[in-house]
Amino acid sequence: MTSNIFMGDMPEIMEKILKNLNNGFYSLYSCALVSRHWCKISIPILWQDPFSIKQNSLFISQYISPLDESEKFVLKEYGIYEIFSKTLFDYANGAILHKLVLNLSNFLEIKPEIFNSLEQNDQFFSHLVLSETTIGFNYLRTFSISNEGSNEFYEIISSLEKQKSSLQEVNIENCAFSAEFEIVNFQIDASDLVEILPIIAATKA
Amino acid sequence: VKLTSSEGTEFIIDRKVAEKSVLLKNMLEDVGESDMAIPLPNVTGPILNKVIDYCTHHRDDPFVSQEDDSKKVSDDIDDWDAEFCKVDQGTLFELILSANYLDIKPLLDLTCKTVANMIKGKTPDEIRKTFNITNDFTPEEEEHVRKENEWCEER
Repeated sequence: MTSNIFMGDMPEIMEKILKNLNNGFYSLYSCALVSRHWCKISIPILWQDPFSIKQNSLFISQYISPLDESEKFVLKEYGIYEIFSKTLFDYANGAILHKLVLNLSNFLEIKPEIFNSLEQNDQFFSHLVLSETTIGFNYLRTFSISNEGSNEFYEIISSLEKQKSSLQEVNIENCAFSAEFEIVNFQIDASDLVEILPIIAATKA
Repeated sequence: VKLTSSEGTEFIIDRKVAEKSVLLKNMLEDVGESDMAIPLPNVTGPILNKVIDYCTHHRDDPFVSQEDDSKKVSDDIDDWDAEFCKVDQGTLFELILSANYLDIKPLLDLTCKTVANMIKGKTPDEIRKTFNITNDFTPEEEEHVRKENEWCEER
């Protein structure tokens, strides 16, 4: 006997069951491959916090790929030349991303400037990090960035400002503490941002 | 409080036990106590019996609100609850449906957790076998999902 819970009758119960798997990525991945219905329920859970276990450019491009052409064009301009294949799911919109953790050393082909363009393109940024346009009240809560190189982070920091009403935690590690950064930091200090964001700037000497 | 199951069996339970169910609690508040039995056409006798067992055992537990279920681990099931859930799959799923219908959140959480534990660590094929599910993917679709999500394979 197959319970109708698993046949699509009660998606909310199914969701409740699968949410118990928390971040058991392997189990959720198995669930996604069981059947169409299982896939539909498990994918959004799976993609809530995908960046915490795997970080590479192919992966992020997959996440981005359902975005429309003009948005992709902006991406390409800033150094992402991945071929965007059509994905089965609209991962960026279907899943509610709660946490974005980037490790820039693994994103060699993504220049920090990308964040500048993301900031200019409101819609794009909201697509990438929080799907704000489609899901009204689910926001990015944690943003972490870690870098081995010596990139400048002006763009990243300033684009974060857009998210200040929802962000609860920002971690910045190993980022070169350049003059530019310092200025931005000062600007953030001057605004009300700091009251909202506990900024941990662990800087490399 | 009197309850009747789908086949008409009557159950008499304490109001405090009945109030573990938000559905019954609201009903009792609206109607007030009466000698009339509350019909539960969606719940069979044996399942209602189990549900009453659960509610009786947990009658003094504090009420759990809807919100605080953001982070839960599926291992924290106590012995009594674990023993309670050692039933066949059909019963387990009926318990889930009843807990959902009667709106008994801790029981719903417990039973969902139990099912989640049955899923944990299994391959898609094992899951299908466990719950007797037909794979309705086309080979292309299945391959697609596999490829797009293969990052999960490394643990």
